[in-house]
Amino acid sequence: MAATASEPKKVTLTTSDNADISVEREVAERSILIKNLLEDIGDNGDAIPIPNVNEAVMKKVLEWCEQHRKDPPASQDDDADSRKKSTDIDEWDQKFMQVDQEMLFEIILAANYLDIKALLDVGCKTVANMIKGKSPDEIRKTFNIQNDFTPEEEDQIRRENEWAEDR
Amino acid sequence: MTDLRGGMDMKTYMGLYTAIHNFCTAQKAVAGATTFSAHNNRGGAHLLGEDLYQHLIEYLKSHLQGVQTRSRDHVDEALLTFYIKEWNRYTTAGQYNNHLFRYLNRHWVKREMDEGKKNIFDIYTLHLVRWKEDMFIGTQESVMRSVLKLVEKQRNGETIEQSHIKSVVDSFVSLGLDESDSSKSTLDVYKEYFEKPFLAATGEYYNNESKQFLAENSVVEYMKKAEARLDEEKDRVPLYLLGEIMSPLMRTCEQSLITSHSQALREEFQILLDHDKQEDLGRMYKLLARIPEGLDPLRNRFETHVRKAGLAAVEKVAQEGENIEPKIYVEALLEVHTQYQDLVNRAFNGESEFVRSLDNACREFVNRNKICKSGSNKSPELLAKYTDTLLKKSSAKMTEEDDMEKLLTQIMTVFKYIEDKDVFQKFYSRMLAKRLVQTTSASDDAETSMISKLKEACGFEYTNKLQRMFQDMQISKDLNTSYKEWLEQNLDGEDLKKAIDTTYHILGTGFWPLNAPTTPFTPPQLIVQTYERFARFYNHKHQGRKLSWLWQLCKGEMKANYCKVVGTKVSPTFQVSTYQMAILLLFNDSDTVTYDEITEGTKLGKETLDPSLGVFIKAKVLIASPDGAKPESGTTYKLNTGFKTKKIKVNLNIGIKSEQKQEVEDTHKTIEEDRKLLMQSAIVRIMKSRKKMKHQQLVSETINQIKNRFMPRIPDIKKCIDILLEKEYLERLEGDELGYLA
Amino acid sequence: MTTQASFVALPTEILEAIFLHLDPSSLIAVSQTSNFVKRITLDTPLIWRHFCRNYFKSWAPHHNIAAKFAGPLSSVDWRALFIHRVQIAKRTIQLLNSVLHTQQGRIRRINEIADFGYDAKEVLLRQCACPDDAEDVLARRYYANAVLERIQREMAINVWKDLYNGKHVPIERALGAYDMFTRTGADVDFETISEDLEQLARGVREVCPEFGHLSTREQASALASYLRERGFRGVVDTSYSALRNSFIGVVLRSPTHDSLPLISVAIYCAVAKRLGLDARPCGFLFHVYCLIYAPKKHTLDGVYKPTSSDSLDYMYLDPFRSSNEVGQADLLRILREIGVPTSEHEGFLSDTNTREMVLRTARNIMNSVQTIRQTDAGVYGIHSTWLNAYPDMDNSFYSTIWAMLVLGPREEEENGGLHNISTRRRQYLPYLLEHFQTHYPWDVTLLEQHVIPLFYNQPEGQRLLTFVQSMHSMDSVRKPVNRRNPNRDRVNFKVGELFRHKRYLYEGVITGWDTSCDAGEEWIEHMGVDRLINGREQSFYHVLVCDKSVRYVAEENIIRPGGGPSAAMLKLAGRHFKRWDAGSNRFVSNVRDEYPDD
Repeated sequence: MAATASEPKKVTLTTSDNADISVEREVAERSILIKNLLEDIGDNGDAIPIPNVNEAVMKKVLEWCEQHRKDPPASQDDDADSRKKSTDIDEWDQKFMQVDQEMLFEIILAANYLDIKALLDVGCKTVANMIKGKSPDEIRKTFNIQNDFTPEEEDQIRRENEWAEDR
Repeated sequence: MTDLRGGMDMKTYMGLYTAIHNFCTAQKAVAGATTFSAHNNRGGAHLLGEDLYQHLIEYLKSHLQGVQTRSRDHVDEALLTFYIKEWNRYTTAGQYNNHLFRYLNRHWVKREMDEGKKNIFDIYTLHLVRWKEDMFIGTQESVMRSVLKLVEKQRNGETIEQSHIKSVVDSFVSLGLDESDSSKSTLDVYKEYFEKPFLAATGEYYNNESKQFLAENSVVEYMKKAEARLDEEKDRVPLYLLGEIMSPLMRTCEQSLITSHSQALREEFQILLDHDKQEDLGRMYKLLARIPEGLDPLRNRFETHVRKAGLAAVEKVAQEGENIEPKIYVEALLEVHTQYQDLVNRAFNGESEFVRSLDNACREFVNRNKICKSGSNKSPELLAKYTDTLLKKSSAKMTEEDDMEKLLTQIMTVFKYIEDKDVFQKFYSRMLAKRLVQTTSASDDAETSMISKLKEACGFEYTNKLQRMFQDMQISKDLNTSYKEWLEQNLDGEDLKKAIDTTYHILGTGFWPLNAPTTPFTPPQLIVQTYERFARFYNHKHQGRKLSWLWQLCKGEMKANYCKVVGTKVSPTFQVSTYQMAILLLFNDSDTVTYDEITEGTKLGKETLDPSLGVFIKAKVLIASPDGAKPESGTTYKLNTGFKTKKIKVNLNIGIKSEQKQEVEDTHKTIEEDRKLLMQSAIVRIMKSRKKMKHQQLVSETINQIKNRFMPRIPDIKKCIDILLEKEYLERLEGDELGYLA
Repeated sequence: MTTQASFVALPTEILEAIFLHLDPSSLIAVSQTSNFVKRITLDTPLIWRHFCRNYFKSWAPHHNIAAKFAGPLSSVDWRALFIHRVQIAKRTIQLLNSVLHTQQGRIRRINEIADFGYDAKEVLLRQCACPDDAEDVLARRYYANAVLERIQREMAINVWKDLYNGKHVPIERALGAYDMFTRTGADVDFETISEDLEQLARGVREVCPEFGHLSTREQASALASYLRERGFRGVVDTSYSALRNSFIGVVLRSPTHDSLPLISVAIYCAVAKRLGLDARPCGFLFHVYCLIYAPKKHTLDGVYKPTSSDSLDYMYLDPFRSSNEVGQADLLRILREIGVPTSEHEGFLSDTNTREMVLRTARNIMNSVQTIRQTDAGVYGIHSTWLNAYPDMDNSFYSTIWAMLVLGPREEEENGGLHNISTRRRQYLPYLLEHFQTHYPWDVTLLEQHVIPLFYNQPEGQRLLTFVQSMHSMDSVRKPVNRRNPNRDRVNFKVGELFRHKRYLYEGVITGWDTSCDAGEEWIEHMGVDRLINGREQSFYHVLVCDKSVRYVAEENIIRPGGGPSAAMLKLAGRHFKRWDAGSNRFVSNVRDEYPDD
C-alpha cells in the first residue's frame, strides 16, 4: 500500500441506513475488516457497504478513528489475559465515551464487527468502570438487569462467595 | 462460497463477512430462549462456530477431491505445472477466506485453541491442513517422481525449468505444521516427502555414476570428476532447494562419491607420493578430508614414506665413507624435510595432523639412521660441527647476513628433531669456547642470534653457560683496555717500551668447557714478568680471585730479526703457541740447544714437546743434528739462520690431530656423567615436592621432566634411583612406594 | 439487525472482555445480578486464570504454574485455584497475627505458614511493607521477614539436595540458592535470575541478529564482548572480597555487576546455554575459566569436521578479565610454574560440575565473611557493622554451612567410607547449631528434616533428636510469668529500655530480667561477677546487643543513654518489641506474656 504523496486517498462507506460517508482511507483502515477488504479486492472506487452499522454510530466510530489514526497497530498476538488489565482510559477517550448507554453498546458492537480492537477495549473498560465498586443491586439498576434469583439461590450465592469477604 | 476469486466485488465480500459475523453473534436468541445446562460451559457462539467450521471443512474436502481426480490426467512436467497452478489458486483463496472468517478466527477458533484442542486451526491453516490430507497425501508420490526425473535430467546435462521444483519445495515447506502450536511451522513434511526421496535418488545416481566412471577411468581422473560433481551439487542448493538441505546433501554425495571409493583412493596415494604429484595429492586430501577419519590412513602412509626418504638420503651420505662432512649430512636431512614440508603446505593445507606426521617421521630419521646406528649421539655432534663451520671465520665464504640467518634457522629445524639436545649443547659450547678464545668467530651478531634461538627452543637454563662465555669475552675486552691505561700510568717510558704487548681473556671457571694444561710448563722469564705484572693489576681490581693460566690455549708472535723476507728488508713474524715460544726463546741465548736443554728449560712433557719441535723442523726453522734425528736425548737443534720465506707472517701454531680426537671422546664421556647428574637432580626435585611416590610413577614423571633434553632410558633412571637410595636421599616404603629423606 | 443494544444483549465474547477488566470483588458483585450473568462469570475460566496470573506472582513449586498457564485453559479449575490462594493469604495473616501476639507456639505457627511455601510470599512481603505507624510495626516486619526467609531457606536447601542426588540443576539455580538463602524481596527469586539471564540472551540476539549463524569461536567472543559492554567486568582488586560479589542474583541486578570470577563464568555459561552455546565452568587454580565446546563434528570455527570420535573441540575464555580467548598453553604454563604435578593438570583444565561450583562459592562466601569479621573486630569492638554488609553476614555464613552439610562430602570420593563422611559433616555441626539457636530457632523443622537424617545411626543423631523434641515442647508451653513484686522492687530498668554498657559502651536493649544473677556457678566464676561492686545479689538483665548478640548484664553496668535507637537496633528489636515509643523513650514490649508488668 504505497502512500500517495499529495491527495490523501478517500473511500466511501455506505451505512445500513444507506448514507454515504467519505473518509480518508488511512482512517477507515483502523478497521481491520476494511483494511483486509481493500487489500484483498483492491480499491476500485466502489462504495463499501457496511450493512451492520447505521450512520449515527458510524460517524461516532469514524470520529474515534480520526483521533487515533496514527496509533501503532495492535500487536498481533496480545493474549486477552496475558497483560495486566487496567481500566485507565485516556482523557479524550473518556470524553468520547460520555454517551448514553445505548450508544455505548452500539459503539462496542460496531467496534467488534468492524474489528477495531482498541476501540472495543475502550468500550469494555468504560462498561467495567460502570460496574466497579457497585453492589449487585446498583449494577442491576444501572444496566436494567432483571433479578431472576429465587431466595434459595440468593442464599446459595452468599455461601459460595464467603471466601471473598474481607478482602 | 466459491473458490475462484477472479471477480469478487465488495458487496459479496461484505455480505459474506457480515453473514458469518451475524451467524456467530446470533447466539443470544438461542441462548436466551433455552437456558442451557450449566455443564456445557461454552455458549451458543461456540456451537454455531463449530457448525460453520465443519461446513467449511466439508466444502474444502469436496473441492480437493475434484482437484485430485483431475491431477491423475497429468504426468511429469505437466503434472508439476498442474500441481503448482492448483496450489497457488488454493492458497490465494485460503487467504481470502481467512479474512472473511476473521470473526470466527478471533473468537471461536481462538478459544478452541486456548482450550488446547489439537485439531482446530485458524482458517488459513485449516486450508493447508486440508490440502495436506485431501490432496498432498494422494499425489505427493507422483509429484516427487516428476521432480526427481527433472533433477536427473539436469544432472545429465539437460536444461530444465528450475522454478517448478522451487515451487514444489515451497509448497511442501508450507505444509509443515507444528502439531502443538499451529502458529509455528516445521520442516517435517518437507523432510519426509521431499528431502528423503531426493537424497535417496541422489545417492543412487552417484553410486551408479561413480562405479561406472572408475571402471573406465584412472583414479586421478575420477578425483577430478568427484570434485566437479561435489561443486555442482553445492551450487544446486541456492538455485531451487532449501538451504537446509546443504549439509545432508553433501553428506549423501560424499558417501557415494568418496566413502564408497575411499579404498581405491588411498591405494593411489602411495603412487602419487612416489611421483610427487602435488596437485593430485592436494585433490585427494580435499576429498578424503570430507569424510570421517578419511585421512588417518593417509597420515600413516605419509609418515612411513617420509621416514623412508630420510633414511635413504642418510644412507647415501653414509656411502661416502667413514668421515662424514657435517655440512653434507645436515643438508641431506634438511632437503628431505624441506621437500615434504612443502608438500604438506601445498597439498595438505598445512594441516596440523600432517605436520605432526612429518615431525614424527623427521624425528625418527634424524635420530635413528645408518650414521647414528652406534647411538643417537652422532646427529647432534654433526649438527654442532656444522654450526661451528658456519659461525667460524673463513675467508672462503663470506656469507651475507640474510643467508646466515636462513642457515641458522635451518639448523634450528634439525635441532628441533634432535632428541639428545644435551649432546648438541656439549659440542656446541666447546666449539663456541674455541671460537671465542681463538677469536675465530665470524660475527658477534650471528653468535647472539644462534644463542637466542637455542634459548627460545630450550629455555634459559640451556643457554645460560653460553651466554656467560659471551659476557666473559666482553668483560675481558674492557679489562684489557683499563690494563693498558694502568700500564701507562704506572710504568716509566723505558719499561713501557720494553714491555710485551699482551691481551688477556679472563674466563670464569665452571662456565667454560676448558681443562687445565696436560703438561708441566715453565714459562720463559720474559713471559713470567709480563703476566705477573698483569696479575698484580688484576688482584688489585678483584681481590681474592685466583688466576690460573691455560697455556695450551695461549699464543703469541715473535719477530725473527735474524733473517729477512725474501726480496724485502722486513724480518718475518712467527705465529707460535706459548710452548713453541718458550722453545724458540732458548735460541736467543745460543744458536745451538740440545734436546735435554730444551726439556730442562721448558719442563714440557714429551708428548707436547715433540710435536712442537716437529713443526719447527718441518718448517725448517730449526735444523736437527744429526740430520733427521728423532726428538730424544742426544739430539741437538740449531737455528736455521738461512731460513727463507716469502710471507711476512709465518704460522707455526698448527693444531695437533690426536688432540682433536681426544676431545671428541672426552665430550662423549662427560655427557654420560652429566646425564646421570641431570636424572638424579630431577628425581630429587620431584621427590622433594611430592614426598611420597610410587616407583613407576616416579620413573614416568622423571622422563617427563627431562625428555626435552634427551630421551632417558628406564634402566638408567632405575640405576639413579638406586644410587639415591644408597646415598640415603630416598627410602623404600611399604609396597612400591618411595619416600623422600630431607 | 435491530435488536436493541443493552447489557445483557451483548454477545458473550464481549461480556467476557468486559469482565476481564474487573477486579475480583466487582466480578463477584456483578455475578450476583442475574442467573445469566452468574453463569457467564462462573463458566469463563479465562477470567479466573486472568486473576490467578495477575493477582499472584509467586507460586509454590508444586503448582507447576508455568505449565498450567501454558496448558489448555479448561484443564485447570482456575476459580478453585484462585479461591485457594485467597484462603492461604487469609490464613497466613491469621497465623502471623498469632505469632505476633504470643511467644507460645510461635515456632509451630511460623512453620505452619512456611508450609504454604512460596504461596505465602506476597502476603508476607506486604506485611514487611506495613505502614511505619502500625501499632506493631517492628515486630510485624521482623517476623514477616523471618518467615519469608525460613521459606526461602527451605527452597534453597531443596535445590542443593536435588543437586546432591544427581538431578539436573542449572548452574544459575544452584548458585541462586545462595541469594534465596540470604535475601528477601519481591525480586529475590529463582525466576528473577532466570529472567535476567533470559533478558541478557535476548540482548545478545538483538545486538547480533546473526548470532545463530556464527561459528562457536565467534559466538563465544560475541557473548563475552556483550557481557563486558553491559558492565559485567569482574571486580577491581580493592573490593574483590566484598560479600555481594558471590551472589549471582545480586550481581545480575547491581548497577556495577561486580563479581568474582566464578560468578562471571556462571553468568556467561547460563546465558550461553540460552543461546545454544555449550559453555561450562573450568575450576582452575585460584581462578575460574570458561570452557567452550564446539558442536559435535564441527570445529570451533564452524567448519564441518568429519570424525566419529566423541571428543569435542574446545577453547578457554576468561570472562572475568577480558573477551579474548585464553590459550591452553598459557594455562599449562601457570600450572607448571606453580608446581602442579603433570598428573593433576587434567583436573584443572577440564570442566567442573555444578556441585563443585556451589561448594567453591561456599568457600568464597566464608572467606568474605571472615575478612569482614577480622577487619571489623580489630577496629571497632562490639558494634553493628553487620548492618553495612549485604547480603546479611549471618545469613551468608549460615548458608555456607548448609551448603557444605548438604553437598559437602560424597560417598564415592571418600576412601574411608560412610564413617569418614559423617566425621567431615560433624565438623560443621557446631557452627550450624550456634547460628540456628541465636538467629533462627524456627529452623528446627529444617533441622529435623534435613540434618538429622544425615547423622542417622550416629550419636549426634540421637542427641539432635532429643534437642529438637525439647525445643518443640518448650515452644508449646506458656512462658513462665515474671511479675514485678513491690517487695523486691530492686529491678530499676524495664523491658524495652535502651542502654549503653558502662564499660564496653555498646548499645543494647533490655529483653528480660532476674532479681539476682541466675547464671550457672561456672559462668559467675568466669565472668568475675563477685568482683562487681554489688556482686551477684543485684538485678541482672537479659539484653539484646546491637551486634546481634544476646548477653546478661549486671544492673550496675547499665547506663541510660540520651538519644533514640540506632538503625541496627531498630532492625533487631522486632524480635521482642512492637515499636519504638518516643514518648516513653523505650520499645513497646511484645513479651508481655513473660513480663506482664513491663
